[in-house]
Amino acid sequence: MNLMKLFNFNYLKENLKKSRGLLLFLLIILPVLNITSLALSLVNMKEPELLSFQDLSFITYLGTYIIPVILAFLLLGFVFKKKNVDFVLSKPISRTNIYLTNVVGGIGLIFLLIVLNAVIFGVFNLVSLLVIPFKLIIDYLIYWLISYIFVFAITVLAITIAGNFMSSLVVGLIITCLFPFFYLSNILLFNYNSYDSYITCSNCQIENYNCYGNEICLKHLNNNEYMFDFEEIPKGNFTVPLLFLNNDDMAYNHISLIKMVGLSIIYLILGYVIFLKRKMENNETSFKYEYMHYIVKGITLIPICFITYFLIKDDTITGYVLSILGIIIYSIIYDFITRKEIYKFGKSTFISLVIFGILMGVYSLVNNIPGAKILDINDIEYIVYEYQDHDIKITDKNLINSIILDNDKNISGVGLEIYANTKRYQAYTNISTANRDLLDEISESQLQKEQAEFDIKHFDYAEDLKVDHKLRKLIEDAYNDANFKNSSNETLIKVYDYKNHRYQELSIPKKINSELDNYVLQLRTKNALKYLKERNDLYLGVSTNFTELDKYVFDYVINSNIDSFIDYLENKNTKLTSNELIIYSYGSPSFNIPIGDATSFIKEFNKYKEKLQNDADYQELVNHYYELKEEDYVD
Amino acid sequence: MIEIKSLSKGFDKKKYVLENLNCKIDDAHIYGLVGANGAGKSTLLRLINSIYEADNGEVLIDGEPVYDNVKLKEQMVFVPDDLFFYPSYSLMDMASYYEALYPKFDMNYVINTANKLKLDLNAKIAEFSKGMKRQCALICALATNAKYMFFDETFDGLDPVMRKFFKSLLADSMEKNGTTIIMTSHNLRELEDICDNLGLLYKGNILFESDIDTLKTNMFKVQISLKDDFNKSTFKGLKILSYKKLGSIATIIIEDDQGKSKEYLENLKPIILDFLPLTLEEVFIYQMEALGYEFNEVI
Repeated sequence: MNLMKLFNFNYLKENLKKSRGLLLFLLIILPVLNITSLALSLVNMKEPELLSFQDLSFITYLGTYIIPVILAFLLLGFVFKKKNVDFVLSKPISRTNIYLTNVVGGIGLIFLLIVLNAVIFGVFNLVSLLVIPFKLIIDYLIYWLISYIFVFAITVLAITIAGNFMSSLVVGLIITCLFPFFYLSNILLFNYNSYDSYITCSNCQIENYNCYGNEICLKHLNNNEYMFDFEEIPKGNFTVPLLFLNNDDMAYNHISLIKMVGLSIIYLILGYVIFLKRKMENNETSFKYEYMHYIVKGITLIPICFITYFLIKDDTITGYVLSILGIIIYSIIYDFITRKEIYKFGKSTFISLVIFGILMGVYSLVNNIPGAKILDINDIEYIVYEYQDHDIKITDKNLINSIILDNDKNISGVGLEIYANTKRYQAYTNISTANRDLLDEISESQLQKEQAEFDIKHFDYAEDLKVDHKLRKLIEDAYNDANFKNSSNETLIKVYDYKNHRYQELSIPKKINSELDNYVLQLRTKNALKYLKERNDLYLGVSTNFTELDKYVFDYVINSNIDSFIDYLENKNTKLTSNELIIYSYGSPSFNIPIGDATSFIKEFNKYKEKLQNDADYQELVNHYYELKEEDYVD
Repeated sequence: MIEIKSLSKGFDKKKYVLENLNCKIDDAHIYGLVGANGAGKSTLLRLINSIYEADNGEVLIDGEPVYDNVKLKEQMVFVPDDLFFYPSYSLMDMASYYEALYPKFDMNYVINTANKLKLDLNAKIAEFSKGMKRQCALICALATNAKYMFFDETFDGLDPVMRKFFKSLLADSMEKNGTTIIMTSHNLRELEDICDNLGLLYKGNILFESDIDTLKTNMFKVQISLKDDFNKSTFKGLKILSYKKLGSIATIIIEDDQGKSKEYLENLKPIILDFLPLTLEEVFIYQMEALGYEFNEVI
């Protein structure tokens, strides 16, 4: 079978040509916004900055709701106009050709759009201070390509199902949001009873568990169930539009992607079958059959009634009146929008109110399901403990049991994520010092392991610094130093590598390599001086070795001699050490300049001061200092 | 040849617009389809052109089912009554669209015809008058050189000069390419001077069809007066569709061979004998009457 016969590129070309203005706009809007956003972020940027997946994705994410939807309507929306259908379907092109050509064309345009953005990120990585690793750009490309195609597939399906524009939007929203709505409302809104949650342990027993006379608690205790504060959290593997609810915000998520790929294929195949069978004579009305209109309207009432449920939950007459009025108004507006008429007012309103009544009953029922949730400790597969911004997976059953059941808990409010029965729970518990130490030890060992796996040869970014050959070599040497693994000194620099769809971080200790330490210091000072020269609103401070008065007047003295001060820092302050005197700026971004020879600097400073001895403002500042000093003394 | 077999189409379960319609249209003919509003003319054309799918039956062209058949559709072009043009398109853009899809499309034909009609090829069609839009649609359709052309309310919006012009273009196309043309109208007069076959669609079916030459030559109006008193039975040797007598003059509609009828009537030694041509509308009126229908109900 010749697959090319399934497509008609001449038709695609013409179909795209007819909307070329809007298509061009759709293709350039994201790149333009991304360029603008990245360019704005470069204003005042003096040091390289590492961008995350979220940084790259924000604008693209907003476009998810608009661009693939408009694209689908541009390509297949002709089915909503009888005149247009006459024109297209009478041409020598089959329905299969029309559908597949438009779908492939749409996916091609989405590909072009996302690639264009990816290229822009690549260019910014090459020519600006922004650091955007290649692998991150590839992740961006895959993730958003799939997400956009997913929304496109939903819209295509909605177009093939519905008879007019508004109905297809409603159907699209239903396909996108209905299942997540059920899932989230069940977990987040009907599940707010974490204070009544219990954990059971069939082969263990907690001693000295106190219910303080609480009858429900005692009843549970008799069943070997113990109060334990946990609540289910939604699994963070959503599809569009709920990507922001995923684990780690909008980070790259395999499961989301697999779901979206699978659903896109299903939706597109379903759309194809429906398109072939679509009765073109029914265009311009919401649905051919009246009952379909009512079914779809009924589905849209599910979330609407969810809101009204909270109005009538407390049995207030006003709540009922407002809800019923709201439903009637909604029913009229819905009919008017989708059928362009007030459609069979009496029947339509009656059906809406019946659905309203049924849904109220269902919601009451769900909300009144006994609140207690019981989790068997034996079902816990693992817990996740957060250690130094890292999620550490703990699988040791004994440790898990001990953390949850141990009575000797003196460290309060420790947050844990529990994974059990394919669900995910957030728990807050107290843990014992011994368990905390054990967790820290496991975590440390886990971090060491991650550190050992760090790809030092290809890291993407060294904190705040432009990585040149020398720096890369020094960092590599430091990492390979035999003392590195055991060193727990103060961090000199953090380096990052984008691997497995997230940044891996490595802290290079300060004292592991003096050459590296000195070179980093030089680079940072160079950056700081560059910044200092360009700023005219400096507000400087000094760290130590100064008298109280000198610290007080430091900023004024330096700013009165700014050129010679910069000259001093550039040319005379060559022996840099990181633990001597430090000049620092306030505000954002702040910077530090280490002073290598404090004695020489104090001499230089005193020279500046002498020049200002007759300066009235300086004198006033000094007097003010003494006044303040006196007040402090009096107080 | 276009062959329509037991074709049925309904827009809701209760009512068929076309019901069990059968019809054959020979190649290289211009077939006029007439019928009142709602008779099913447009629906039939949409079914032939695969816009709608038939509930029952099928349409065959050269023995092949036409529905969604790209090879056949390359030889078919349809101009609906409600014309569609992309909002920003010029005639040149529309022609390019057709050119992309029809293998035998003749761009020079579009340019030459548009120039003859003084149509601006690059002006937006949306800004054209109704008649000019119709001209654009017809030019594009004719330029496809399709073997089968379908026109719904073909000349709607065209002034008499333009009608004549496009009728000649259609005739040329038929003559040059052996094109088969099906055109609909609710106005018989519009079709009579171009169609060689006519079908009357009534309540979802072809009520009556015939070729126009036969209709016109075999049916004629005679005004006659005889010396002696006479009545309808005086002419019992002729096939009379209608007989009306006012005073001593009778007006008779005869469906028969004109030569034989003339001979028969002259043998009666008439004082007055006039053979008058019938308009197509009159032919239909009398045929309908003969079939027991009121013409005004049908068309």
